[in-house]
Amino acid sequence: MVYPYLVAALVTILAHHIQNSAEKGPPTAEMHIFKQLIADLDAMVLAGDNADLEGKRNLCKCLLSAFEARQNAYAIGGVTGCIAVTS
Amino acid sequence: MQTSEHSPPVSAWVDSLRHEVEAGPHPQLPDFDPFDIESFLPDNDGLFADDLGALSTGDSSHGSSTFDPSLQVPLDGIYSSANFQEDAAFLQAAQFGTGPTEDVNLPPPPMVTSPTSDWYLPPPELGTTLLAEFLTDLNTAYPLYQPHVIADHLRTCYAGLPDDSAIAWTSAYIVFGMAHHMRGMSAAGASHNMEMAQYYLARAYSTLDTLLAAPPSLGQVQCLVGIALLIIASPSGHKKTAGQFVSTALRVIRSLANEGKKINPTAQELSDGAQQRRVFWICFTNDISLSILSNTQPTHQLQDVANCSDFVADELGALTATEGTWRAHIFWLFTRIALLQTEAIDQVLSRKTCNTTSLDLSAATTIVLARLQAFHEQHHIFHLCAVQLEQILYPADICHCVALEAYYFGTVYRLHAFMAIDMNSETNPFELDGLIRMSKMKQHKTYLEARRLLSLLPVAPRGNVALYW
Repeated sequence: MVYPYLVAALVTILAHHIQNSAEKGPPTAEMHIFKQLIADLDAMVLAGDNADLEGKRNLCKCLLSAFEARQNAYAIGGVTGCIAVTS
Repeated sequence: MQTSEHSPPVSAWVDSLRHEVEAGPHPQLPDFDPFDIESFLPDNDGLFADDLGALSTGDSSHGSSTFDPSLQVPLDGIYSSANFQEDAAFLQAAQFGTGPTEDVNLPPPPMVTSPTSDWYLPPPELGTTLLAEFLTDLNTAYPLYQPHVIADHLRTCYAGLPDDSAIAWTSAYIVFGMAHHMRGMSAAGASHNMEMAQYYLARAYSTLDTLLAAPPSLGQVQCLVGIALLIIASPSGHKKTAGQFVSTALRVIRSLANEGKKINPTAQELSDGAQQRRVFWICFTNDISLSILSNTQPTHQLQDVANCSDFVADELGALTATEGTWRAHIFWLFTRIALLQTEAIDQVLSRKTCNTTSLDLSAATTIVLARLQAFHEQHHIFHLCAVQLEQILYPADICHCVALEAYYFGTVYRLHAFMAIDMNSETNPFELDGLIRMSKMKQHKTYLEARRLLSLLPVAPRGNVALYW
């Protein structure tokens, strides 16, 4: 039962980059791992009746979207500071 | 192991589990019929009939008295396949283990119960293959059974013995279920294997009335923790039940260990004692990891197992490289990290620390984190990248490495989260609310550990598989 650890790890990494967007973002290969992990969580949500997992999957998706939005904004020379994460 | 003077008798815990099982949700049988033999062989060309024939066309002089004639399947003119003869020999082979097998009244070839029976066994060739896969892919790293003992259990079942052999039948279901989980994580994995594992979990559950009424024994403990492993590996939303199974198993085996001490043990008793210790540690590691995840008190404190630290790594519980001499005593590593997790709970996260000053809690956290870091730096397996693991290890063994790394990350993350969330151990950073709180933190001290854990995923089985659940 490692998915709770994997979710915690993904939240840790994405939150770090969201909150510290001036730092260089993760390389493409790592981004692929993150997206694949979310796809894995999608597959698990489909396979089991597990509301808890679904909520965590949604949080990961929300964080990934926030991170990508943050990266895009930073790339065009915009936003600094923190953003709030809700789910 | 020390015992608490005022702890309830172990029978009370077993009764409690029985009531929990009666009142709680039961795993459902999947919506398919495993007795539909067509499902095993899509291109049924008679091979399965050969296998089935082998079940009742053997030498009747070998223990056929144990067979219930009503369960015999008439198979005139059908003879044992060559493959089955090999499988039957495999089930009887001395190489299965070091224990005595010659005094076991072997009833080859085995006998399957009729399809109308409540008991189901796969065809013997499949059963033998599943057993071999269980022993190779899981039991090697996680030595739940001595090979010759589980082989004996399967012989008992294939001999068609009645339902009162609950330990043998439950053990067989556990082995088949876990083997299907391992298959589901192989390159040829399919959702069918998850369903079959779910089927065997439901079957194992159906034995619980008899199993829990049996006197405490190592076999009973193996069944309880085995069912817990099947629950943990399944998509079930009722994982908390697994903790009750593990906790009860741990109490029973601790009781057995205290009762079974002898001054001059025989070689057999020493061997059984060694297996008892392995099973104790399997119970213990699962109990602690579930406690870390669910933020509940573990069954034992560190002081209860302080004198168990002499547990040594042996041949059972080691991963070996596909080539060369490299090996890692993965089971021993699981026990070491479980002790560190116990230390984290005892010194930092436990309710008994509520009166400890912030300064002392901070110091205790720093000490445990330093010990965790030293543990991680000390062992070579933690220094191998995903590509190296893939090159060195068999695919099934990578699962154990990912699980070990996950336990390490989880413990470090739990301690840092405790410090970050105002030293409030009631907030569980693995639950959604705790994750949201953690996501708003500016500083993430487990960033590197998190990257290391996720970096292993590309070479591991993923998605709807036992490892992830």
